[in-house]
Amino acid sequence: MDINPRTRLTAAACILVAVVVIYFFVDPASTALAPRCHFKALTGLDCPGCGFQRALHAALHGNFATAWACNPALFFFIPVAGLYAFTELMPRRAGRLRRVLISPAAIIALALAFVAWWVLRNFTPSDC
Amino acid sequence: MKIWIYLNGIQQGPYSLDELADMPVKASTPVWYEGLPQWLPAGEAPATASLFAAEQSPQSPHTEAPRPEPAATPAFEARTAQAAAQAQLPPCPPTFIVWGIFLLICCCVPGGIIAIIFSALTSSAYSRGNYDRARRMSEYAEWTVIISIVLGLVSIPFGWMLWI
Repeated sequence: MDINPRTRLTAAACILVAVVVIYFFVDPASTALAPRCHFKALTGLDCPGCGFQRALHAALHGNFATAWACNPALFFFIPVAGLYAFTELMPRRAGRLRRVLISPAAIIALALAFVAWWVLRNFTPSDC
Repeated sequence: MKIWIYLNGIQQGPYSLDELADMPVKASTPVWYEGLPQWLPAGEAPATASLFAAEQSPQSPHTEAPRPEPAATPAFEARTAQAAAQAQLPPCPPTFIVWGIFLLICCCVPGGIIAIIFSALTSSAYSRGNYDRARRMSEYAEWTVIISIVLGLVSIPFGWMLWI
């Protein structure tokens, strides 16, 4: 799809601000309307993202220990997503970093890291 | 017009013609844009040649100017085989890898896994120089992400029911 980069950037920024505002003021643990994980409902197991909303809410209030307990992947995902966003938005400065990040090895490593995290978290107790 | 350039060993862009005018682009800098069969020196590609025509004409009104910096093009060609193969290609199509991980985080695990597989296929096809396949895989990844997000949003109410 051919969307003007500026439109794309504006839309992304609006969504980002909306998400931050919503999760700052709304506690997903006490709201019935927060999206629930289907995987957990069906299997009883945690998916890689379970606890992410609670973690985001806690982190936005500065409770990083709670956020870590709910979903440590938050602290991994945000820097990684930021890095990819930077390389996409400023390819001139990113240069070599961009080529590393879009290499097959980097993508496979990221995917394996998340699968490993998915398995691991179901064997470790969570006190969220 | 979107123009990609190969500057300081890095593929960059897309830029507009106006942006290129402000950049340290020489007549020997390889450029590519939609419609060019392959990368060409900026001084020879029809769209960008105008940038240099204005600079050169006052200097050499009578005589044929010597080819600007003839050493630059062989140096460009003498890169490693993979870099040279990639330099002939348009930039890598988007891999949507962040979207794939986003889907995993948002509990849309099956969609996320499929999207990440297509991301990896995009990237590996591109690194082997197979641009058409990379573009196809990139489109598959994009559609996986779009369908997953729509299905995910639609299924949120069902998620509430499962928990009641």
